[in-house]
Amino acid sequence: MVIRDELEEILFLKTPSIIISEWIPFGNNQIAALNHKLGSLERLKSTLLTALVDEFPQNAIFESDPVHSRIVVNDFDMTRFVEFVAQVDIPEAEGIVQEEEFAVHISEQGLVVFALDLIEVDGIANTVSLDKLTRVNADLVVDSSTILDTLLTHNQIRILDAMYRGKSHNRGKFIMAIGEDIAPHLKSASEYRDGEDYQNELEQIIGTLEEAETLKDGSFIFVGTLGSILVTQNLKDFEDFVGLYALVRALDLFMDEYFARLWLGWDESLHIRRMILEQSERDPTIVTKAKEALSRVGADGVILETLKQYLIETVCFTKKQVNHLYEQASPAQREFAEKVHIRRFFDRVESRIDDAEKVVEGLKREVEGLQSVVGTLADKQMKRMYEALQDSSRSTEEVLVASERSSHALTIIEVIVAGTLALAFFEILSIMGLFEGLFLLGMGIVFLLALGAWAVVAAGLFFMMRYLTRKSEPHLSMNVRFDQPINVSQLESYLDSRPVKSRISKQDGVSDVLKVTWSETDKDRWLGEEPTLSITYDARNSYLLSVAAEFDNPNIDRGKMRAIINQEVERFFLKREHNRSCDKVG
Amino acid sequence: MELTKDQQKLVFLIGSYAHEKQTSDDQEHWFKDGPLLAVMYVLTVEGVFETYDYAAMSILCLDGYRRFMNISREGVDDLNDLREMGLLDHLKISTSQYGTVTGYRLTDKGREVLATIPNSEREGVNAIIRCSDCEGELMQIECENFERYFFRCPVCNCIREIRIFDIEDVSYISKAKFLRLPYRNDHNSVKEE
Repeated sequence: MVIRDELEEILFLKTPSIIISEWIPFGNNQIAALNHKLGSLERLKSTLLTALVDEFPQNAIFESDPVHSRIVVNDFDMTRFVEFVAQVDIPEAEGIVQEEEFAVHISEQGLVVFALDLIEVDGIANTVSLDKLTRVNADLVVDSSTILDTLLTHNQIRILDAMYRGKSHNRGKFIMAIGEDIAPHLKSASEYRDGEDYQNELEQIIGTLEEAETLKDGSFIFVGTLGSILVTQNLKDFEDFVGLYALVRALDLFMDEYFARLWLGWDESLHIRRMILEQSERDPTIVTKAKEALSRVGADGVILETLKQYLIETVCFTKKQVNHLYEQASPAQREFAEKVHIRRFFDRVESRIDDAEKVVEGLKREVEGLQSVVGTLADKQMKRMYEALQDSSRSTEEVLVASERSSHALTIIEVIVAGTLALAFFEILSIMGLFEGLFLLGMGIVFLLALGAWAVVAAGLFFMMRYLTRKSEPHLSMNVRFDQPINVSQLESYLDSRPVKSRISKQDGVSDVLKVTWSETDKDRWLGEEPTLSITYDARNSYLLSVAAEFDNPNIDRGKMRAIINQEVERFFLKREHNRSCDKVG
Repeated sequence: MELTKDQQKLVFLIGSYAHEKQTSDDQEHWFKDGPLLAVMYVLTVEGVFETYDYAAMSILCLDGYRRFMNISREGVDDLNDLREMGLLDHLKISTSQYGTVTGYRLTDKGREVLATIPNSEREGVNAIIRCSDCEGELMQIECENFERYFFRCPVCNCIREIRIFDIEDVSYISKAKFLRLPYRNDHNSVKEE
């Protein structure tokens, strides 16, 4: 993408270099893991690099997109630091050529420094306008994150994700531009602080200009809120202090973001508190929602506390480092350190970490307090549910008693109806003259015969009703739990070939559970039965939950039937990881 | 007090979006710094602001995420100059994400200046901030997830994107620079203390 406006380039850095620093939680073990990953101990210390994660480590082959980064280890100590060169060759827009190579230094204290000399910018060698330098910086900040993200452990990625809420790519970094000269070269650094063009140009790189100092050797140093510019021909004289300064400023910048994250944690806990207080009476899902939100804040709180421990260790070590360097400092180094206020920044970081301790502890207590409120709320809801259940049981009991009364009444009606039917039948036979002879024997016999007919019809009705009731209920139900990943499209094609009777769907934010029921007609496959099958699966997460089967025959072999269900599921839609490399072994 | 042409345009721009309450039920309107910077970027790219340019700067946005945005430092500087001259009020308020947002509005003196700004300076700004299809309706500035700014006409609902987050690439060649960092050489001596 070309620059959309004509730039008014006013200030130029000669023989420019860029140092980008940031603080990332590291320790001896992470440095050791990084050295292993980079192959620092190997004879050839060069490797290509990608963010690809091997999901199937048992396979012989993995596939990747084209790889654009190469690293070469330059120096290392197994547990203390590693320094390597990264070459990035990411395809850019047409007309843009970027040959990016920078040195990366990572120490056990978490200091990460990216450093490079800018050989050429926009076809011009050894000189860059500050306007164009801002675009280079933006590119470097993003690319340095890309490189580093491929090297971090999962633990570090989780910490950064919690810290930057999943967007660690946008984390702040301290930028230091160094040049042997600046054009136009004014007499002193303070002359660039004109409140107009010069200052505007400088502030594009370093944020708000805080200090503009001239050192005794004629070097200029401009200190800003987001970065610094050093114009010197004697960088070697205070290079150690430049590294220390980069660490201290990176730590200070990290503390800004750390506190912003802590306040967000507080904001989230306040939101949860409000949610509980305002919605607990009307939202039945509030306990689940609050528990979910609290577990998220709690987990982030634990990580923020871990980060604080890393910060304390870094500050503890850096304090020794600052004192050690100050003791050995040359006058030029001491002057540089004082002009850029290394000690002031360091003291500030130290006191901010002390302060963070209280805020983190407070957040932890707040989350614990809210968990206890949610617990009480859950008890309350449980009690309410128990009471509702008791009410419901009472109502059910009343319904059952009423139903029993109705049932008795129905039985009586059945008997009466049977009698009426029997007598009507008997009357028809009488009219037909069948019982003429019997009448001669007396009305008593006829009456007894009528009663007998009544009893026979009543018994017939009773047995027919019992048969129908039994027929309507299954004799054997089986429920096989699977909880396994499946191929949903295969399952759905399988179901398409079945005479589906019903589909019941239950959706929430995280799942889409479907229950599909059908009757099997292939008796050969189902041991001579025609079972009704129900399959319950989560279509959203491709997960088979259970298969239920109902049979008329209660005496079927359940073991065999379970084996048939398993076979059916495995054959048609269970997802299995195919280990292609092992297919032909043995 | 003499304003540059760009400062006059800036006064006109802020006066178009921010105003004091006009009826007893009305409230005072402040122009937030994020959308203001976004419109200033468009006016810079379109050449309305003649002396401004822009550069990529890392900005902490209101959602708490840091992003690179095309910011005109000259424009920011002119905002400060106008405040110094007493033409602009600015109000800082907290956001729900523990950040702060700044609002700008013309002062009484600023409104007096606004009345004197010639049409020639107003036209360029109006061409950008008013809808050409709806008899010059003032376009609203909207933001989507703090990742995208755009103009929207409240009448015809047409949208025009503001590409303030699109940072242009430049060609460059760099070589690794090895620094003498204190941790590398003097590590053991410090560790043993």
